[in-house]
Amino acid sequence: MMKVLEISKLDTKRKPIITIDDNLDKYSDIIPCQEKVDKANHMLKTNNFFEKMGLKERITKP
Amino acid sequence: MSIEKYQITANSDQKVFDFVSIGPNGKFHKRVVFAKTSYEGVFSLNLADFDQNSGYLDYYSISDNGDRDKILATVVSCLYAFFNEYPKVYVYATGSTTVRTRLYRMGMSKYYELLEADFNVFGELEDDWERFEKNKSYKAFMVSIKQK
Repeated sequence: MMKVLEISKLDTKRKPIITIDDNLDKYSDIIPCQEKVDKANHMLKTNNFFEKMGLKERITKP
Repeated sequence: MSIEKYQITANSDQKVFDFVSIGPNGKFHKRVVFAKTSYEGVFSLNLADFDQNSGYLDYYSISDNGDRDKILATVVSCLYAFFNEYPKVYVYATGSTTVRTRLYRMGMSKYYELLEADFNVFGELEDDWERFEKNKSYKAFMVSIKQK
């Protein structure tokens, strides 16, 4: 099923640029690039964004 | 961002986005995927060329299609859509090579005023993090949407 995604910041109501296609759902659970995910996991262990930035400003953990 | 962008197709939970780069070297199918990391609420941003026949994702291809800014603006549109669905998460972004990370940094520096209006952008140093500063070298980036 196709439908148009509306995002006010992108003014998509006036000029639609994003269409939702359920056929892409089959790709959502695939790990796309293990190397990049590994980089993110490595950063979170060795240079944790929330620990480092939490010392400098109020960071809301997700 | 008022920069020209490509039309995007998204999956229903807005974690996968496809678009087609069109330029002097032809058409290249691109895919943006927001992948889970080991940390709840932190996603990895992945941009690749996508082979429609084999389904193969190539993270290292250089299409050199003369549309770098248009591709970056399209990826930013994907970020808006992703954060629209998941407003409290963080997105970790780095290039597949140091050259590509540098290109991202150059693009982010060029359009920083536009980005900064809606996003919190941070840069990863060797052993620290800081708010993104234009034209400074970073290993990677972290992005969240500003809560308004």
